[in-house]
Amino acid sequence: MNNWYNINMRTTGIYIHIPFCKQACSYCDFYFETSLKHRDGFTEKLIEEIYHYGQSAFAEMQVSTIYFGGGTPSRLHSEEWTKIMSALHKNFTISPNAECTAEVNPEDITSKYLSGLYDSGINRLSIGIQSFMPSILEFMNRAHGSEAAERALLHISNSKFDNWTADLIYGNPNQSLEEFKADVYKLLEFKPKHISAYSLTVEPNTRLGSWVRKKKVVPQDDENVANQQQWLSDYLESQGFSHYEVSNFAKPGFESVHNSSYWNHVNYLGLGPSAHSFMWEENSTSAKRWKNVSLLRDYMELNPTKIIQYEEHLSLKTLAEERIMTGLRTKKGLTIGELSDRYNYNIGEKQHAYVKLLIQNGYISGEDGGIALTKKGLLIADTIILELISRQEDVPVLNKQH
Amino acid sequence: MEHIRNFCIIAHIDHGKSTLADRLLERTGSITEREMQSQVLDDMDLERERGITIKSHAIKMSYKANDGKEYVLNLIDTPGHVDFAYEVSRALKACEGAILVVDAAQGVEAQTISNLYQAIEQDLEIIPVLNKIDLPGADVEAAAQQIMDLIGCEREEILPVSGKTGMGVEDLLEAIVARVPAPKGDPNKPLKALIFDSVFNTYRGSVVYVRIMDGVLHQGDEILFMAVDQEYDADEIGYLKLKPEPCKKLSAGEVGYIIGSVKTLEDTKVGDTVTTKKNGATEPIAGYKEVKPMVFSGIYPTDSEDFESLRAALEKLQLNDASLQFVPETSAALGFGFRAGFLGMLHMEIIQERLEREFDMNIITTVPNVEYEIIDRNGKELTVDNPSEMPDAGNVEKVFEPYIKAQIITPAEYIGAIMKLCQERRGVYRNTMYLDSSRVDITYELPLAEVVFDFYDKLKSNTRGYASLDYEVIGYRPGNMVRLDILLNGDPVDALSSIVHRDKAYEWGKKLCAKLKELIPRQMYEVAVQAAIGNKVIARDTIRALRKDVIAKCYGGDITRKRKLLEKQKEGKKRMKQVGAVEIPQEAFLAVLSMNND
Ligand SMILES: Nc1nc2c(ncn2[C@@H]2O[C@H](COP(=O)(O)OP(=O)(O)O)[C@@H](O)[C@H]2O)c(=O)[nH]1
Ligand code: SF4
Ligand SMILES: [Mg+2]
Repeated sequence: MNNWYNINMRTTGIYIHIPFCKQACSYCDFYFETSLKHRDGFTEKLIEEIYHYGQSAFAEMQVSTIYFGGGTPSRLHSEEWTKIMSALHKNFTISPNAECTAEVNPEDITSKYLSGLYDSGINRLSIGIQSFMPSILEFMNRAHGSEAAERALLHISNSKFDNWTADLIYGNPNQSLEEFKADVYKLLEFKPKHISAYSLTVEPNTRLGSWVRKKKVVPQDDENVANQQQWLSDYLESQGFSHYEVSNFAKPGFESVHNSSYWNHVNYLGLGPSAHSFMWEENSTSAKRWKNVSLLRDYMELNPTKIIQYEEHLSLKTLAEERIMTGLRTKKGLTIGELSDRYNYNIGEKQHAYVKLLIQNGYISGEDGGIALTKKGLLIADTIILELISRQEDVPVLNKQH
Repeated sequence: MEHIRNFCIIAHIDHGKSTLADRLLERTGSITEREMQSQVLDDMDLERERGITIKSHAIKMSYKANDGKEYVLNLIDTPGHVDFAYEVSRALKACEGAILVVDAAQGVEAQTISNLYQAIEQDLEIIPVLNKIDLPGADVEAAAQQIMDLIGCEREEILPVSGKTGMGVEDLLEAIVARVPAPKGDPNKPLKALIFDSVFNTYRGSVVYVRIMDGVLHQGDEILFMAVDQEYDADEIGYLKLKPEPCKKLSAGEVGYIIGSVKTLEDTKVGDTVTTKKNGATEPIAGYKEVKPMVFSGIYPTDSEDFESLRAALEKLQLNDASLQFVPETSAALGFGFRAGFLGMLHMEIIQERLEREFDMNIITTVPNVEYEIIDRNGKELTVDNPSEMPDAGNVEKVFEPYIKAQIITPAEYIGAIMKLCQERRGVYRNTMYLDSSRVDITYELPLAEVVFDFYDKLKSNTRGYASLDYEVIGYRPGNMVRLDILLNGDPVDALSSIVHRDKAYEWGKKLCAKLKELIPRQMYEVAVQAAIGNKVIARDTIRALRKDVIAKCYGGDITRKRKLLEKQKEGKKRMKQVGAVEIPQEAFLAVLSMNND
């Protein structure tokens, strides 16, 4: 079999978590530290972990993407980038045209910093703009103001980085559609190749979460958020972007390879505190996902062999459900053949009937064996995914020996 | 016989009947310290939890009185809720005396009075007792005055006790011996034994609790249950102690049990008379009545595959509760299930709770309704206990609905609020009687249908919990009732139909649509909710289509977290029922019950 996913089985992505942030954004529940207490020696520790995995199965695969996320990777100094990237090159086989992304925040960007990054081997940037509106940035407690955002984007436009993306957050409390439009128009002035737009999600363990609980902040009405999302999709498509995943838009050829590999169950190695890794050995009927310890302090203290906080084994059925979950959030969708070949998951009668109903009602465009949500469907992807998965009949397991 | 005292305790709920019974058992040494578990007589978990007595029991105590003689005291415990009024009346018939317990802090309440009237009707010797005198809030004199007014007794006849501390219990025991008459009855007459309770035992079959009115029952006798005309052998007979104590014979005046491999409670109905096959009685004891369920509702398994397990569970419950009735029914919306009949709302709640708790069943119950008698245009008479059986409005000539006489006791300041409530519920005012300067007894006649929903809750909330209610069914009267259907996207959902009074249908329909809109989550398609009488839509609402639910959040490589969320939602879906293309949560089927009535 020479399907694309069999080829992908032998490649891997690398994710590196840099847990430092200048200040805590009010909505954020990623793992990060604003204190510098355990900052010293972090790069050395990370490199130790890189060397550790240089002896693992990952070292035998081809690395197609590297992604520095956070936290705020642009908190790293230029020399640290050079050290980390060269350690990666020493320990892994990195494909010559690998996508190497670094998340950066506006307040850290200077032209000098950008050229250092570029020279270390990073070829894609992801910048956390979120908004240009001062009041929204303040509500989010971002470390940058609107001017810093524009200045940083100007630096990027003038740099060697051609492939870059910016994050926006919409659906903020009281944010009007017009205000959101202004954010998008402003961003497009800098000609990004890719945009990730997330709707503000209230997570319980955040300041925003506590504001909402105490009714100091009223979350935006669903209907308004839907309007913003729909407008965004229509507008960016009119500007030549493809809405290729619920929150992602790209000019042709600029889709994020790294993110797509999460959705396709490509292996990835996660390094740094709280990073996740995923490994699905070829032809195996189960896969493994594990997570490093979250706390920076623990990460700094523990030997790389002891750094894993938990690990889970995923059955083919679970993997299939994950694939439906991630696949249906993409424009490309998934194929019934893929589910049966790769996951041994067969779409049952009730599921077929449901898909048919969705096609009739314009939620799914189904072309020979493919299932992909339409724009209308994408807006309610969560419901469709849940419904589709819940309609799985429990098919008796066939004993292959008979 | 002159050393036997058969008595019961009558009280309003929570006035301390069970607690006092425990004290009596203790003082007479009928129970050891170790066996003592608070409220021994309420032996069902649910009873203990809710603090109410559902099934009656009996227990035999021996007591050495101050006169130096040994007495046999048979305490017959009676159910403490209006739903079980008939059982109360039969238990009373087995006694010669009744202890009337009144909470000294609460005073006389509705059930006190209705039970008392029944006891007086049966000619029982009443021993008035003021309980909970240990409470700081006890107003002994006021409560005593109420009792005196009520039964016309002397102040000295009222015994102050505390079930909690045991104070006064000794005097109470002496009063029972002194005041309750010894049973009458002739051991030489043919056997007449009154069944005042029966319970089902998995190994022994039906265990029948009887009071021998006349004659003697010997172990091994061939016996006849007169109302059902069924014969059995009295394999084992005995006395009711904490554990059954077999004996050779039971004579007139005594209380005991009979076991005779009776496979079903159907044959051992409360109120029936047991006699011997040979030389038996020709006439049963007067007053036998078939108990009829008053409230009906559909019970469906959430998962249609559990239909047989639900049937098994109901059958098991019925073994111990002959008043529970059920027949299979099908609903287009809910699939296969049962239509069950209950004595009242409490009875219904108890059954539902036991199904979920003891049998681990996941059930959907439909809106309860009463039984209607209908004459259609062709003059045909039918009995309808299920809205879906009600003919269309055009085919109905006349509808008759059950009425009750409700007795409400309340502090006088709430008279207005209560009258307003009863008027809203189509009540017919009958009478107001002052119990003393501050408490009144109001009598209304009301359609039962208006009481089964939330009348009791409303009564309580309108009177800060002070009013109490008791009722009895008084028969059928004409009522302008119609079937109100609910349509989702144009399709009637049979399980949501209800029978309502025509004058209330419009408002009812409007509220029901609004409530359903609130309870049914948005779906992928717009859902029209309509209320209709026949073909005429009288109210409508729209559940807008779901527009957006996708969380455009960045999870990165933490797909596990996203999946866990999905798994949780999947669990939640199990409590939904698919009706056509619409998904309905279980609560929606009881929407009527949670409708705001003001
Ligand atoms: N303080 C006090 N509480 C009592 C007394 N008798 C019963 N109670 C409490 O009143 C509540 C109702 O008692 P219970 O015997 O279950 O009442 P029943 O519903 O009439 O059987 C329980 O919480 C008892 O503990 C008493 O003499 N004094
Ligand atoms: S900068 Fe990014 S990681 Fe840091 S707190 Fe803000 S949103 Fe979270
Ligand atoms: Mg009790």
